Order: sequence, then C-alpha cells, then structure tokens
Amino acid sequence: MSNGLTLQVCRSCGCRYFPARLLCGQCGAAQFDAAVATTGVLEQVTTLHRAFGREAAARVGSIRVDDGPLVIVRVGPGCLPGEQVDLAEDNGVPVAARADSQR
Amino acid sequence: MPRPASVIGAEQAVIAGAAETPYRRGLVRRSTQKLLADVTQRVLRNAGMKLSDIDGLGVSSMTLAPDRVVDLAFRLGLRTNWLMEDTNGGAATLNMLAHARRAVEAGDARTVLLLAGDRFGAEDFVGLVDNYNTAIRDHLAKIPFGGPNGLFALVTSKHMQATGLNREDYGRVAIAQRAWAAKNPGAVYRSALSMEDYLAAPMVAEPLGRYDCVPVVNGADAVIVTRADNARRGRPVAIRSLHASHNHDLHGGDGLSTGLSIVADAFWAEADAAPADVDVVSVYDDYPVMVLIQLAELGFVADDDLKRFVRSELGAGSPAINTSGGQLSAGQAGFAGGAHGLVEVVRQLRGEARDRQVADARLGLVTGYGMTVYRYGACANVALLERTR
Repeated sequence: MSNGLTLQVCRSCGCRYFPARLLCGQCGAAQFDAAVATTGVLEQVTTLHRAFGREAAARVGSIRVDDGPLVIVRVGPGCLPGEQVDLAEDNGVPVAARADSQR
Repeated sequence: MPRPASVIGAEQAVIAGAAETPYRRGLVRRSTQKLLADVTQRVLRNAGMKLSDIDGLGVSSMTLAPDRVVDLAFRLGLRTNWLMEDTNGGAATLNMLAHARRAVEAGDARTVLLLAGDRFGAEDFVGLVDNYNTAIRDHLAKIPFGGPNGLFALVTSKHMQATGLNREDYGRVAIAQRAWAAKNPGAVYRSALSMEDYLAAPMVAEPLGRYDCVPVVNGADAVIVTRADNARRGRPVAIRSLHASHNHDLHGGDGLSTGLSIVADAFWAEADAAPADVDVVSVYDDYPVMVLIQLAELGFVADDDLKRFVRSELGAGSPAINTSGGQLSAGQAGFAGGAHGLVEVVRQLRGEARDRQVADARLGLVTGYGMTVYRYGACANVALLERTR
C-alpha cells in the first residue's frame, strides 16, 4: 500500500487522468507526467451484498480527486459520503481512507 | 397524428427477418456456436430464405473463442462476400446494422445475416467481468468492484441525488416491464412483480436490488438485412434513422448522460419524426436508471419531469416500452443483449409479437448502450424503424 494515487498529467495542457490514457483527449499529446493526489471527496458509496454468488462485504465508492478525475475506490472503514478522504493505492487499486483530519 | 409512411426504394436496405432462441438460465449443454446455428435456422424461416441466400455475416459474441466470424461461416456452411465481428456489447448489433445497411445499399453484399449470442455459466462470467478491459483488470477487479452491478449502483445513487427519484421509481421501471414479460413465453421472469416484491428482494449493491439487475441467460438473436426488392416473407422493416456516439464525454462525466444526448437532434431530424409518433420502443435496459436516462435524452420525458413520467406515463403504453419485458425480465444473453431489443421491435413492426402485439405498430425505436470502459458505458446508438406495408 502506498500513500496517494498516481495520476497522469498531460505535459502540454495539464489535463489530469486516471486510469492512464494513451493520448490526451483534450489536446492529442502523448507525453504525460505523474502526479500524486493525496485527497478527494467521497461522492457515492455502495456495499456489495452479492457478487455473482459469492459473499463480498466490500464497500465501493466514487471519489472526486482534488483538481482531478472521478475515480472508483475501495472504501475503508469510517468513510462517509460527502467527506474529504485520504487516497492510497494498493497494487493498482485506489483506496479511500478516513482523512487524518477526521480521525 | 401519424405521418405518412416514407417511400421505400427497391435498393434500400430493410430488415427482412428477426428471431431469438428461447432464453435459458443456468448451464445449458449447447455451445455458443450451437445457439448461433439454432437462431440462424429460426431467422431464415422467419424471412422465408435459404442459407444460400446469405452472402454477408456479422456476429457479436464474447464466448465464440477460439472461433472467429469466418470460423462461424465455415461451420454454418455460409459462402460470404462480407464479414464483420463487433465486440461492442450492448451497442454491437446496432453498429453491425449500420454497417450492413450501407453494405447492402452499396452492393457489397446482397443479404446479410447478423447474429449475436452467448452461453456461459456463473464462473465464466466472473472471469469475463474481471478481465473486461485494461482499466477494469488493473484498477477495479481487485477492489473488488462487483462487476457492472457495483458501478451502476454508484450511477443510480448519483441519479437519485440529481433527480430526487427514490427506489420505488426505479422499481416502477422493472414492474412495468414485468407486466409485458407475462405475455412473452421467451422471458425468464414472467410472474407479476409487485412493489412489495421489488422492495423485499435481496439487495445486490445499494440502491440496486435483485430486480434492478438483469438475469444472466444463454441465448441468441438474429436479424437479416437485405434490399427491399429481395425481402420475402412478412413485412419488410425500413431503417429511417440510425445514429451513434461513443465515448462522447471522454469518460469525464458522472455516467448520467450517454452519447444519445449528442445525437438526438440529428437523429430525429433525419427520421423526420418526433417522440410522439413512435408506437413501440426498445430502450437498452441493463439497469432501470439507464432506461430513464436514455428516454429523457431522446425527448420522451415531457418538460424533463422524470417523476411524473415514471409515476404516470411509463407504463401507460404510449409508446409501449420494452414489450418483451426487456433484459430485466427476459434476461441478458451476453452480447445478445444488444440485439434483443432490435428483434422485439422488428417483431412488433412485422405484426409477429403474438399476445403482446402493439396494435398497428408502425414506427419503432431501438437503442443500444454499454461497454463499461471504466465507470459507465461508453457506447450509445439509436435507430428508428418503420414497417413498410
């Protein structure tokens, strides 16, 4: 697990993407820099009751990354919709954790 | 006030046949290829044609491997001048229809058979869902995200927030479609669905319960596209307008709009028609929320008053919506989901819908939607079809 979520930032126009694109849809450029986003606002949350027959207690949500895209995340304990949350990455999976300021 | 039927030229492409295998839940013995062979025989019978009349083949399936479309032609005994394979799920069949129509009108093919179908068990489905594309494999599968149910739960709760609709409102979509399914022997859910049943059903992913999600089935659908002067049995169905818009928002939105919002004006202008002229609609129904979003984008919701629409107009039958019961009741046979609504509208316009026939159905609208590239579907298309005699 690493802190923050790595976004793609278009080197020519500054558009921020997650997941990675091949070309920037705004300006067509192929060069991107990496930027680590550390916080966002949790928008929607759902709990998976059944996933094709197997029990899964996971909570899934959507996060508006600060100054960035809407990202689907694993929602950690104690995170509530509408709140600012901390972002982390677990082997490619974006994770939302209760913000330090809320703990 | 119905407008006069448009004049159909001999060289214009028409849909001259439509068929569907019965949809079945659970593991069936027959392979995807056998389902496609079955529906081929059914559509040829419906069109009054022979295998040797076909000189173009298109297919949409996610379980055809290791075969491809030419292997299918080989195994079906088809000689063809034209082949295509379209893997764009809920939008694939209208995509293929758009290509087939042009091929027939340009003379590249005379008579095209379009097939869509899948056969799989629940365990195959998990693998397909988790490896649907790079973004899902790398960033969603290991959340775990619950497949499309998890994602469309988020879209639905966003839609509730934006529109003020409640769970009962989405339930009204499922209930209205179930009333049609009672008259469709091919549907897997046919018993009446009450609001109590809908609300008491097990939750899948809030706010989605069991009846907000399509039952996964095995099955196949088919249509035949040919020149108007080559149509044989039954009423030929003309394509009055067909438009598509894919990845319309570069996936920067919240899933509450589809590409139909981009093409709706051009679609109706080419059709020279308005929503009030339409008798029967098949709107792509992977989830109730998408039924409402697409109908609103196409102008079926007066004053954008979704609450009034869903509470008093949706089930009233003008136009008749998802008369097969839709995928929510009939089932989703993988990529055949993109053909199911087309087959139903063609049956209605040909007067072949039996117990659920909409009286004097003349104009029918079909939408395709799907292909979750990350958070929601990126493909959208829409066709207006017209019976020609």
